[in-house]
Amino acid sequence: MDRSYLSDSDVVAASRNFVCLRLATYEDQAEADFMKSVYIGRNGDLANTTFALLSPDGEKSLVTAGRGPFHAFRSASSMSASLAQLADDYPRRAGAAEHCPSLPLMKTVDLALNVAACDGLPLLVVVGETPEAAEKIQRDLAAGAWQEPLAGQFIYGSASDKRTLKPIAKARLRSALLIVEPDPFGLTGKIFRAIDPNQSSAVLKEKLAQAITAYPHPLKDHNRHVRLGIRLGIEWETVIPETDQQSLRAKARARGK
Amino acid sequence: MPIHKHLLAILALVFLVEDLSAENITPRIAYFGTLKSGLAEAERSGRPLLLVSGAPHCLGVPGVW
Repeated sequence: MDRSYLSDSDVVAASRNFVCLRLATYEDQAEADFMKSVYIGRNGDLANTTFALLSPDGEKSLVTAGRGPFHAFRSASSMSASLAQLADDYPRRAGAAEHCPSLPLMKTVDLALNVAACDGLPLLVVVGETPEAAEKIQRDLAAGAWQEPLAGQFIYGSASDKRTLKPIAKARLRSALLIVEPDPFGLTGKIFRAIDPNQSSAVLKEKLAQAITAYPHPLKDHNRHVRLGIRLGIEWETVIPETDQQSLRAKARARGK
Repeated sequence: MPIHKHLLAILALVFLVEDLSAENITPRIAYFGTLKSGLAEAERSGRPLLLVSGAPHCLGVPGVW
């Protein structure tokens, strides 16, 4: 994932006029099929990474799709300029509310833990005693989640059964917003803060902003992390088979297979 | 300096630090995490899509892109 482009402040500002979608490769067959319709790697299979700008229906590529934004743009500044120009071609639908009415939930809490560990961000798990209770909390939280300063600051998951909460130490099935710090490998997590969801939107927003400023946002040495993971025998099981041959060969070499 | 003035000074400092730290939150791209939810929002809002994908593991080790 190319952070030099995607963390650039002008790119981040310009991204607010897009629906930004980050898919975990090899974790869902339908999503993999969609990604392959957008870009395929040199061997004709799904690549580990994909970058594209698409029309709202997802049918038309607006720039050359590739493995990363560097395929389409020479620099982060040229990317932000293009994003601004393209946004003008696709104005917000008349009458549509400014903010999305739903939270950007990951497919599962397990995957959300891993992604949060990758990003060095906290995981926010909406816990409800029933699916309906969890959905109500999600709705109450949604508008604030897309506004500054909360936009992009959490990875989101939702749980309404004990099994889903199993990787999070001391988590109970009681309505709450659990801010979770994943372990470095994103396989388990511990509760950083627990917030009562039965408060006004303004109070919740303030408490979540305070949690972000207090969260440690750990940095990792990529190579050291990978070496340690291999030495400890940690291996992530993807939902669908990996197909990026370059990545598969490197993995076999590193693990002596 | 009387004790209450010390307390006021400390409180002022605490509020100042809290305020400054809130302003120091690094802006980040806000991503949808599933195709279904992203396409639904693009349909609702009429906004174009910025699509990124990545495997949340390197050489099979999770916790890094």
